[in-house]
Amino acid sequence: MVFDQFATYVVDALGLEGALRAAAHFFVYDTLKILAILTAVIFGVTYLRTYFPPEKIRDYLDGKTAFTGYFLAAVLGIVSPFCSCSTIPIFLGMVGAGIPFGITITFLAVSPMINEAALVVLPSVVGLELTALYAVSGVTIGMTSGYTLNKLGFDRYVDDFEFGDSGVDLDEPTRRERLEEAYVEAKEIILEIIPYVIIGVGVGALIHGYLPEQLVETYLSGQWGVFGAVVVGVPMYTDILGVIPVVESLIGKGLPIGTGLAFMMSVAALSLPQFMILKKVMHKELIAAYAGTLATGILLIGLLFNVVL
Amino acid sequence: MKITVYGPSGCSNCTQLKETTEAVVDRNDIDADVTKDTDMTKLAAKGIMSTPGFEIDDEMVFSGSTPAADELEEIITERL
Repeated sequence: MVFDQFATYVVDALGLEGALRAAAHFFVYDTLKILAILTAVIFGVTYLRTYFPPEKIRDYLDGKTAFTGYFLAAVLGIVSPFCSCSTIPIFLGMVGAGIPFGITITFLAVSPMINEAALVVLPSVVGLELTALYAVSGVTIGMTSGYTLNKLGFDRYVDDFEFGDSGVDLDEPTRRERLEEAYVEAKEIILEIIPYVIIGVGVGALIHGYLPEQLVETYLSGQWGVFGAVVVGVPMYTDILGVIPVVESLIGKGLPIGTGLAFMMSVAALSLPQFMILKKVMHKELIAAYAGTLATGILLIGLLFNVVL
Repeated sequence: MKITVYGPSGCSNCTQLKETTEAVVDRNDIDADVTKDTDMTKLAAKGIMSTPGFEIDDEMVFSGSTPAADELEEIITERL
């Protein structure tokens, strides 16, 4: 690929050798690759999203119950490239409009955990198999958590509010307006993600060039590694595209796939800043239960894949 | 007039909209009180699901987009 050749050209031109060469090549190659894919995918999806404003997503989910509703919520969660701050009004809007509580939780959980750009970046990084596992397990965990919290009656821990009718007209935008909206939105999302990608690729490059395989073998290869991955991953806040290069290089050093997957998903799905945002509309019992079911699901998936694969 | 921008903390679009609004208000010498409200249940109470929400004198004018400064100027001045 052209990025690979370019990265090789850069390290050749700098006359780098050994571990430094490997790290620099990883850094240049991964940064270019991830940013290129990211730009294309985010722009494409934000354009498509203009056809699915939150109000429409809510209407799709209305009246759906049981499996169809949960599944649809998970799929819509994947394709929605909303920033974490905008999922809250969407969540409130859904609850207010009478969408079953469990289904809204599924949407809330899957939206950050499974990212459409990650689905495009991952196959070239960790292979198609792990990408598919990531998507299927994310959907499963999201659906199970929503279903469980619903069954346990956790809807009583959402803040009370009156849901009103908006006076704003939703006219169909023209193609030009859609493109403009997609451009503004994509630009914002990409600018927000870039620092995380660069830091992530930097950490990945250091691991790739300098971390001895022995260390991963000794400390991270057992099943306890999955617990460690989730404990470290849950409070951490970064974009999933910043985690991918780190996990990529760790797997290259012998990290078990299930552990890598668990780390990636727990970083993406849950974080301290997200809990602060949720705190504004949910009681702490619900936040704890939400984080607890998701973390447990991710843990089980990680342990399972380490055994099976 | 009273202008309220609704948006949670951490939404850079929303902060930017408030700043653009303040700039427009200053430039045109409009007597307006520009505030930002981060309480999302208030936004939900108005039936809005996309941030930022933009309100002039208790009327939700638009939501889910950040218009350019000249467009925003038009929106504000026509409600004077």
